This record gives sequence, structure tokens and C-alpha cells, in this order.
Amino acid sequence: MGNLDRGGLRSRINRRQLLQWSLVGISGAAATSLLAACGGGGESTPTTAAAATSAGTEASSSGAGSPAAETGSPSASGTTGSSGSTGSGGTPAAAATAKPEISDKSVRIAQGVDIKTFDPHEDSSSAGIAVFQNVFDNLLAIDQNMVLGPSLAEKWENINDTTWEFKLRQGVKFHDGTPFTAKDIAFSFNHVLDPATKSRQYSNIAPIDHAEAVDDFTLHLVTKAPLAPLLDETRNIFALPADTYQSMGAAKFSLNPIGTGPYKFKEWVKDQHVLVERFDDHWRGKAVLASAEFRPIAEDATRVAALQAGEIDIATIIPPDQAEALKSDSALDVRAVRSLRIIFVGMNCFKDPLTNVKVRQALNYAVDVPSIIKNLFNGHAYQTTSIIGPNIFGFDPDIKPYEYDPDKAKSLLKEAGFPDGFSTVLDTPQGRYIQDVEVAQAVSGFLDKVGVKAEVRPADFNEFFDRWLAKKMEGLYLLGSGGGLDGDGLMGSHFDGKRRGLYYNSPQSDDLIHQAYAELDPKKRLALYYQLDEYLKDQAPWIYLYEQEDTYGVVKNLNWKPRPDERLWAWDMSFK
Amino acid sequence: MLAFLIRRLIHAVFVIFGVSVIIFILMYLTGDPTSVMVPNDATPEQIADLRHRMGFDRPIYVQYGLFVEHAVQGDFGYSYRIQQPALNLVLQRVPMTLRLAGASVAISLIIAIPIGILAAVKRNSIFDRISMVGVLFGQSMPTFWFGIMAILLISVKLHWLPTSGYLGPKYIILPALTLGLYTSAVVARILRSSLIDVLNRDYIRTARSKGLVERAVLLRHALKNAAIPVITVVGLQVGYLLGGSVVTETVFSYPGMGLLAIQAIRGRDMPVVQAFVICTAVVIVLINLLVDLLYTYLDPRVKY
Repeated sequence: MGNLDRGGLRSRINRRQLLQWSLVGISGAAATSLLAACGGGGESTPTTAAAATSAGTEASSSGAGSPAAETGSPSASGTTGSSGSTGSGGTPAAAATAKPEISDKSVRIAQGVDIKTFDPHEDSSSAGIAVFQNVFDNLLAIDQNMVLGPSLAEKWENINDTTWEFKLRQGVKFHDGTPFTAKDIAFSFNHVLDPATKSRQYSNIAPIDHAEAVDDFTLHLVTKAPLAPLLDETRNIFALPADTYQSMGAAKFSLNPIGTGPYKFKEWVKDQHVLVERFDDHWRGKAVLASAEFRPIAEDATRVAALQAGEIDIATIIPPDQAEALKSDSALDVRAVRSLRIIFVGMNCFKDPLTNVKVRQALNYAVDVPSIIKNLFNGHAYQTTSIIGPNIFGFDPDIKPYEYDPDKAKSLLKEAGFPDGFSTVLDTPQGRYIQDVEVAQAVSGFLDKVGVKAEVRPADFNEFFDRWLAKKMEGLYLLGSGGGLDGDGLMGSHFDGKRRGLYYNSPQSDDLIHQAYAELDPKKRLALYYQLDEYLKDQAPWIYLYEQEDTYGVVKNLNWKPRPDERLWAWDMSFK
Repeated sequence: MLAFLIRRLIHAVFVIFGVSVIIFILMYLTGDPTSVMVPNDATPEQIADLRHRMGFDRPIYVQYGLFVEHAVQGDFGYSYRIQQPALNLVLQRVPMTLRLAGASVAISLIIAIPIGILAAVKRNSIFDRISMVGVLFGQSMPTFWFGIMAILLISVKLHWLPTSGYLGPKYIILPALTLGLYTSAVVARILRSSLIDVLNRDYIRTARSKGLVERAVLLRHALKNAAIPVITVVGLQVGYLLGGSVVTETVFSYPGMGLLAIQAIRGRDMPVVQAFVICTAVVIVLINLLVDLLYTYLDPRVKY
């Protein structure tokens, strides 16, 4: 017994000591893991939101469709014209004839983030729209070559300066079997336009006054003033079933969405997967693939591993180092496409010393963009010269980029009264764009050489973008903008004082933007954009950087070509 | 026993109170949320008005009082990112994370118990040395790195298990292994030293001299007493497992509350972060209580 007692005492002491030590250890371990997760883990994780290109920019595209040209809308510049179509996509008729046999196969796609909601006008992120496009249709569709063509609307013209008439397709059905009519699409526009909805797509179509169903298959969009880029602005408005949406209410609809798209909603388990199934009564015909699954895998390395393990067929946003690893796998392809997205460092031009144009020009001269492209992207990016890039309507090919000239930067800073430079911040999203934080650090390094201290502050994209929208950027910020094909998109979301010119606007550029906006003659319109390009290059509201390349990892036997606008349309996919 | 329970529950209230004070002060230090809520061109009057309506102009202890008042009613406010009550978001994920933590404990025990026993019995043998080096390895390996390596080896090369996500029970194995690696190392080490300690006791010598076979000595007499510190450690490891779930769930896209927490931290979604921290604290306190109660079954001499 004595021994036992002794043993009991000893074990109690052990236990008490253990408790004490372990408490210390655990709090430490828990704290460390949290910290590691916030810092270290974050670095390699493509953050949540794949996000939202600024709503405005996402919306702009060119009115490139042929009917648009007839009616004097901005016909796309040569670069966006149709050439070398790759089969699917395109007009419904062409797509239908070129389609392979209907199969019972399914495509599995991993993006970095989950959708936020299934109400298609409440998540304007490209990752969200990539999914919504499968379930919903728009008035017009954009094909693989970024040309606008008919979708729910078959024909359109503007019948006077402010009214556009759309003749709608007949025989289109929603997934619940109800027929699609003008009332539904009119509701969709008016719902987004209603300030009470607080839709993320509102700013894209704000210039539209209202939509009106003239009869079952005729829609009128009435604009507040003549609106040249109207057709582009409709591209993110999806047809909702008016009656169902209203009777269900937005909250319930966002969990049980119903559209007219080639796939119908099956299941969404948050942070696990979105599953859509072929809709047999779809107006284009039956989709080739039986279903599509979208999985959010935040960690780049895990997303790539899932592809290598054969669990998914497409992995988005492959970082350059992982792309090399994928190339050695004989079952996989790395497919890249020149993105419509431009990356730049914006400046809050209403905050000193960035109010001074010489300072802003100096920052442009201080950054060696070709070196960033070479060293961080292995050459897989394209330097931009001004706001509007070469694939966008309004691009001026004669503009030359700012050259890397640190001496000139220093002398401009001296002229501006900052011979010793100044201090500012450089906010950047983390994991939203390829190498975003690295680019911000490189820019900060170049600025440092001319005496400008820019502290790089990485943040989650959603949080960053909310701050951006709330005009909270204090100095410099790295941002990407794109998806659109018409110059007005970028102008509206970055420089128009009446729209979202949050960090730069001026009476001169506003005047040009508004003229171009209302000018229905494409030639005159282009001339206005040339003036704008030149003016804004000189004003330097951004440090102009580059257009990025989107890289996807894809299984070899999948027929699919990545799109410049980042949409993942299962209708376009088939297996060999 | 009842007195002990009551004492421990009062103790638990203080612990959770302490955690709530810390999380509240940390949040207070991150700044006044109104600055994020108003547009830049808001007038000072508008900002003051919002501050007043939100209660941010009151002294910190009043704000804390209001926070506690709402929190005890289960109201942590609405998530900024997803317009849903923060507590609901967290509670929906608790079962997933508990399942992961449970699987981790199970896997780590399956690994650690045989290693611990063999290392103790064959003390100073090659096996003992190798396994103790392995334990050191397991304790010092970063979870994040081990997770990626496990995915590459087991999922990509061998195709034994899926890489990530959660679509069924087999999806839990790799994350549980990753999360439980550290725990299994700790348990193996504690079990070894505790068993060595017990095997040197007099009653073991008595048992042996009675002529009991070594197997019976070990399993029936030694192991049960050696298990007590192991239970303590496993109980305390739950805190580590819940904290570690943040990293592990991110690597494996496992939809538990760790993944939710990391998204909330990145998005400065403070109501969700608060709800996560408080829920974690409650779970840890409850599990520790459970461990204490377990002693009475393992060791009849332990009385409360």
C-alpha cells in the first residue's frame, strides 16, 4: 500500500506539472498557429476572392457584334474582331453544328475561392461570374474571341438616341419549365437598377434609366442620355425568372437559383463544391458534358496537387513556379491566355504629395517595368503604355510607355519640391493576382532608389477592395482591372468624376469621357479616346505596369481553350 | 464530486471571461470600425453620428459590457462578409472541426501507443533510438510543409487518398494525420517515459516475481497507470488541435471552423473572429473538464 500511495502522489505531481507546462505550451502553440496562418500561410494562398474586378471594368466590353456596327455602336477595333475561331462558343448556331456527341462525363474545376452567393448580381467577382455563366444567360453572349453576339436577344437596334430595342428569342425555358419572356429580363435590369437592391452590378448599368417589356418578346432599354457602350454594359446582367424570384425572395433564391443556362443548379455546399447539371431543355440544345463541379481550393500547391492526382480537370491561377512542375506531367497541359486584365499601381491623386503631377510622373519614370516582367514573370506579361490596352476599344497605338529613367524621376521630384523623396504606403491584395505582393515589393524597391519610401501592406482582396471602394486608399495601391473590351469601362471605374473616379478625376478628362460615352459614331469616338489616352498618360494617375497572362492547368484530354475574360463555361468543354 | 463540478464550472466562466477580455481589447486596439464603414467624404458630423449610434463613443468598459451582454445571448453580430449571424457561421463548422480533431486524436494514438510501449520495453535499443529521433522529427515538423508533402506523396504519387476538400470520410485521413503528427510525437514520448517510470515500481517487480507473464504485467498492470499522464496530454492537445486546424484546414481546403477563421481574419470580419475565439475557448474548457472526470474512472484513488 505504501508503495501505491507514493506512486499516486508522484503521478499527481506529474499531472499538475504537466498541466502547468502544457497550458503554457498550448497557448503558445495556438497563438503560433494563428499567427502562422495569418502571415506565412497567407503568403502562398490565393486569397479568397477571386474577385471582383472592379464592377465597372468587368462590365465593359465592346459592342462588337455585327448588328451593333449597323446601328452605329462602337464596333470593336481590329484586335477584337473575329479571327481563328476555335469552334465552340461563338454564335449558338455555329456552336451547335461543331459540337461533339453528348456524353455522360463531368468536368471538375478548381478555383481559388468559393462563390459568395448564387444570386448572380450579388457576387461580381470573376470567380463568381465564371460559375453563374453556366446557369444563367445574358441578353448578349461573348464568344471565345471576345465578340458580342446574340443570346437571349436575337436582334437589336437603337430606335432613337436613348432607346435600344431588343427582339428576344422565343421558346426559351427556365429550369423550372416556365417560359422566358421580356418581363423576366426587364425585371432583371430593373432589379439591379433599384437602389434598394444594392446590387454589386449597379454601377455597371447605372446609365440605363429603366427596362421595359413592350410585348412578350420585345425589350426596350431606355438610357438617361445617349450611351455608346450600352451593349457592353449588359454583359453581366443575367436573366432571372421574375415571378419565381419575387415569390421566393432574394435570400431563398440565392440558395436555389433558376436560370435559362445550359446547366441547372444542383447543389452548393459552402466551401466544398458547387454542382450544376445539364439542362435538357436548354435553347441552344443539350450541353455535351453531363455536369460541372466547381471546387474552391485556396492553396496553390494543393490545387496543383489535386490536378496531378486526377481529382480535377482544370485548375485556375497556376503560379509560375508550379507551371514548370506541371509541364513535366504527360497527362497535363499548361494553357495560357493573354488576359484582358491590366495591373497597375494607382495613386490617390487627392492626397499630397500625389496631387502634384510631377511627382506622379516621377514615380512612372522610377519603375523599371520591363525588368519586373523579365524577372518576376519570365517574360509572360506585356507592358502597358496608358490606360486603354491593345485589346480594348480606344487603344492608341502611337503612345509610348514611360521609360525607366531614375535620374529624370529624381529631377522631377526636386522640381516638385521633394528633393529627398517622401514616405507613403503601397497597399496590395495578396494572392489575387499572379505574384501581386512580389510586384508591389519590386515597385517599392524601385521607388526606394529615388528616395520614395513606399511601405508594402498586403491584405485580403475582399477587405482591400472594400477599402478601395470606400475611398480609403491612403497613397499607392496595386490593383488589376479588366475583363472588358470597351475603353469606357476603365474610364468609368477609375477616372469619371460622376461614376467611380475615386482617386483621380479632372474637368478635362471628365469632359472627354462624357463625350466619348455619348458619341455613337465609332470613328469620332476613337478620336476622343486617343485624346484621353494621351491626356491621362501625361497626368499619370497610375504607375503603368503590365497586362498579365492567365495560366490554367488542364488535363490533356479536355477540349477547352482558356478565355481572356476568365469565364469557365462548361458549354464550351468536351473530352477527347 | 458535485462540489468539484461546480468549482470547475465557475473556474470555466472565469477562463472564458478572460478570453473575452483579451479578444475584446485586441479588437479595440485594431481601431474604430467606423473608419471602415463611412466613405472618405463623410463629414465629421456624420462620422460622429455613426460612432454614437454604434456606441463607439462610450468608455471601453461600457462597450465591453454591451459586448458581453449580447455575447451571453449568443449574439456576436452579423458577419461583415456574409450577411449571417457570426455565431451561426461558426457553430455550423464546429462539428466538422471536432470530427477532424477527433480523427487526429485517434490516428495519433494508433501511431503513438505501439511506439511508446515498444520504446519503453526495449529501452535503449535501436528501435527506441530510431523512434525517439522520429518523435523529435514529428514534433518539429511544420504542419504546413508536412501537409503539402503528404499530399504529394500519398495523393499525387500513390493515389491512395484524395488531396483536399471534404466529400466523405476518407477525405479526413490526410488532414487528420497532418494535424495529429505533433500530438502523436508528444504522446509517444510521454507514454515511453511514463511507462519506464511505472515499470521500475515495486508492484511491477512483485507482479513479475509472482510469475506473471511479461505481457500481462505490461498490459494489465503497467499500462493502465502509465496512461494517466497520457490522458492529460491528449486532453490538453485538443487546444493545440483546434488552433492547428487553422493551418491544416487551409492546406486541405477542409471546410471546418479553422478555414472560416482564416477567411474571417483575412477579411477583418471581426464578429466571426470573436465568435470563433470564444467557441474555441468553450470547447477547450469543456474537454479539459471531461478529461478531469475521466481520471476518476482510470484511477479510483482520484476523488474530487
